[in-house]
Amino acid sequence: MAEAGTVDTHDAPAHDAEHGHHEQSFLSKYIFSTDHKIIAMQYMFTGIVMALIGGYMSYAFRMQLAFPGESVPGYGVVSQGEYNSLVTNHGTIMIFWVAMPMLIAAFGNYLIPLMIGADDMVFPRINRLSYQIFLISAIILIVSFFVPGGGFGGAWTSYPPLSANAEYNLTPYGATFWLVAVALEFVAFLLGGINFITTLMNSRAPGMRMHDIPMVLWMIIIASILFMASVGPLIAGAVMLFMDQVVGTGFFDPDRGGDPVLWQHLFWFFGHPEVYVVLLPAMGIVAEIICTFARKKLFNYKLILYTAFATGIISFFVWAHHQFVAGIDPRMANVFTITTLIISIPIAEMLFLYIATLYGGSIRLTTPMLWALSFIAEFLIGGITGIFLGASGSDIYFHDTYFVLAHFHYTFFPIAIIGFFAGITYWFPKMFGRMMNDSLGKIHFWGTIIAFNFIFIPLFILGAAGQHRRIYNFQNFPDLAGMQDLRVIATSALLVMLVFQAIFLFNFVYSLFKGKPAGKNPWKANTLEWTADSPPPHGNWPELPNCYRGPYEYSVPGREDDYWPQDVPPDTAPAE
Amino acid sequence: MRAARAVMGSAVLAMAWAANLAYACPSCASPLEENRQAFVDTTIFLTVVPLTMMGGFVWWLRRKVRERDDAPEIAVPQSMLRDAGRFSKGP
Amino acid sequence: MPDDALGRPYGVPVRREPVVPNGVLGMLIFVATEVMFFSGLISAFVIGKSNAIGGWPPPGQPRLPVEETALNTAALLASGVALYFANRAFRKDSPSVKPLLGLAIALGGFFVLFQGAEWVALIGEGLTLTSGQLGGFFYLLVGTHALHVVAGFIILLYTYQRLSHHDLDRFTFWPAQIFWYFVVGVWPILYWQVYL
Ligand code: HEM
Ligand SMILES: [Cu+2]
Repeated sequence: MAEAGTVDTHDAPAHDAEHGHHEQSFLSKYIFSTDHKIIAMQYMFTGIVMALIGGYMSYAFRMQLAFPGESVPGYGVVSQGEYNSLVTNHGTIMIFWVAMPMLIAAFGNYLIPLMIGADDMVFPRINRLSYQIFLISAIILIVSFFVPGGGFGGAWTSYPPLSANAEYNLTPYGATFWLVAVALEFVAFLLGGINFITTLMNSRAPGMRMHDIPMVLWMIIIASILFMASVGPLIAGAVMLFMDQVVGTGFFDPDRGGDPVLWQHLFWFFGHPEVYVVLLPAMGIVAEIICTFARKKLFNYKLILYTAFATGIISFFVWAHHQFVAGIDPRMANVFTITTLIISIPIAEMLFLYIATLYGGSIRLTTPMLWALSFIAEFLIGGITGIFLGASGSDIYFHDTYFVLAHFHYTFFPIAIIGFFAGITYWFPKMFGRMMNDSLGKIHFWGTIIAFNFIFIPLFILGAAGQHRRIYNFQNFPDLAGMQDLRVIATSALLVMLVFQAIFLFNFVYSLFKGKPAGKNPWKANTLEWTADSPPPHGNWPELPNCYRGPYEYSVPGREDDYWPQDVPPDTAPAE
Repeated sequence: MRAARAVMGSAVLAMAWAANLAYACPSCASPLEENRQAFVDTTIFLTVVPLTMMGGFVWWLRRKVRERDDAPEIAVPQSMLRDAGRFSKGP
Repeated sequence: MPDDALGRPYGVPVRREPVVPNGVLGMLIFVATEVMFFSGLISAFVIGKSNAIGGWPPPGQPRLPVEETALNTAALLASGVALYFANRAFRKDSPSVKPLLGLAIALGGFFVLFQGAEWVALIGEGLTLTSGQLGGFFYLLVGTHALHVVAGFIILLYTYQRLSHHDLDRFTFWPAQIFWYFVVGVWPILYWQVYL
């Protein structure tokens, strides 16, 4: 390697005492580890477990909607209160305990040090603390289903006065547990975010400049910045709501001079940036995958990067579109309509740039690539339906109908589920050293994607017909009772989709032990993580790599290989 | 021509602010003028604060990067890089 | 000399000192989050005030001790200034670090104690968390700030202890200062919003 003038990075890469070399016990290796890879796994497996719980909940309440009043196999009869609690916790879990930990925490922790050529995060112990708080928050949430009164049922947005007053929500403990769990989860991600941003800024491999950083890392970092900048007001709101619930203040109680809309104000200030917090990492994962499997350079790296930044900034100007019918100033509604329509432009632009990346590439339809392509297709539907909702005039009709619900499932499902599957099928060889089975992967892919569309397209139709969200039994509404067939289709498709997840779990466990050994770089990709062993050892590399070029030098003319890893020194001797 | 279009565009945008209170649904306005104003004010406030902070930080960072880049490029000894305080590890 | 795809000459990569040290960057990000947290609280308060029928402060509620708190505000600001000079002394390795840092800490402690006394008096007059919007917001805003002062106080004590053992480095001292300046800096805004 070109060594002249470089700092000697060979001496054991900053292994301090806590990183000890000797044999570690199981506990200190897997439970109390400060290694970023282990923490990423912890986040990932917790996320998978939570996703299974959230999926089970959706099974229970969808069955109730399709076959009202009948006993649900594996659950029993769903009562009204339970129905509310299931819906609420399903939403909460999927957003805060699935999308966030899997996309940001798991992939962020795993990829940031590996992709920038560092041996670990800059604050390893804060990182560990972050996961521990996260785990506690997950446990508190699960416990909240079993306290007297049952789990909270006031929707994942938790609007007061319903959420503030136990007389209304009938879950004196559930509501508070829910709130505490969510608040702790924010603290966990706050600590994680500090780590991510600092690590990316300060620990890059020698030679890695701003524009050599893989796109997925930029996306995770922008997401972290958005999260850090938007979560404060929500924590403020959560403290106030907690005091309303527990101490008996009346911040949100209109009877006592409080203002319930204030909560919405604070919640959505965070809530809308939050959707980009989860969107951007998924976009980043997709960018990595399409470049690798189209064997092409990312089309206009800088434009994508600046677009992502612009999206982040605009996302602070749109949040009141969730309050069009909440009693906000109509002039403000107009302004927010305009900004909301504006924000769909950068998103569309990014998708176009991705499609341009595919154009003329030699595309290999591996499982991760299928997931990445389906992300683009499905997310497009989610984004387009958002435009109808962003226009405040039409939103007065659509608000809180199944149309909104289908809209955000067409955004969140691609993000949280497709994005996760894309990422895990792509990085599985690196994480566990073995390949996943491609045929099983494709069966799982088609079963999931087709079923997904059969769940939510009927819901668009129902929403457009005026079916409202969060209603226990539509048979009580004469205008809606007739559309039961659509509900049955949606629920049946959900069952199909859930069954297909068994294939994924099987494939995962099977490949963990029996998969084909992967080697260092099975996809012939460029980014630095593929230069480490699979799975990477503690400390990642025996000697930390240098970086010589951007991450997407595929099919460079004049080179024998169609890829050019970032750590390979240039063919010509360096100047000097 | 360009200017005319810009004027037109701004005029259309300005009309958004001129919407009157009856524009939306009957329940879509707060009866208290102060409250309405407070929501507008805090909306602006909450939007401006994070953007200013981020902008300010980026500006400060760029200045520091420039300063460093203007200085002659000297490789820093590893020993010095390690010295990052007790709470964080070196690079 | 060949260029790579981004048009920059091939060079030998060099690991360089981070532009902003880890601890400082981490603390800055944390403080930014805190600024947003307080912005949220202040926004809530502004909206809360706007809902009051009959003006703010609500009639028939105890009066907040405006003048006494002005004195306390001055004490906190002085603490920030003392810390600033302590840092200058620290950079010059001058022996006056210790008294200056001690002064900053003492003034911070004074602030907390003074405020505690104020609260006792107010509670005596019937202003509590649940006595109305004024009480609720007062203890919410001022109390949250007080918790931050206590946290900052502990952090400064820790730096003082490290200083006494001659093992305070700038990577610890600098972030600690950032936090304290933040705590000092938001207080005048809260004072203006809540008391005046
Ligand atoms: C592409 C641009 C987008 C536009 C224009 C848009 C617009 C909207 C609007 C106006 C609403 C409010 C509808 C109502 O409640 O009446 C809404 C709801 C929602 N959107 Fe989007 N959206 C976009 C992208 C996204 C993305 C990327 C996500 C998720 C990652 C997302 C997630 C949601 C969620 C969760 C809700 C429902 C919140 C609730 O009331 O429970 N949206 N969207
Ligand atoms: Cu939104």
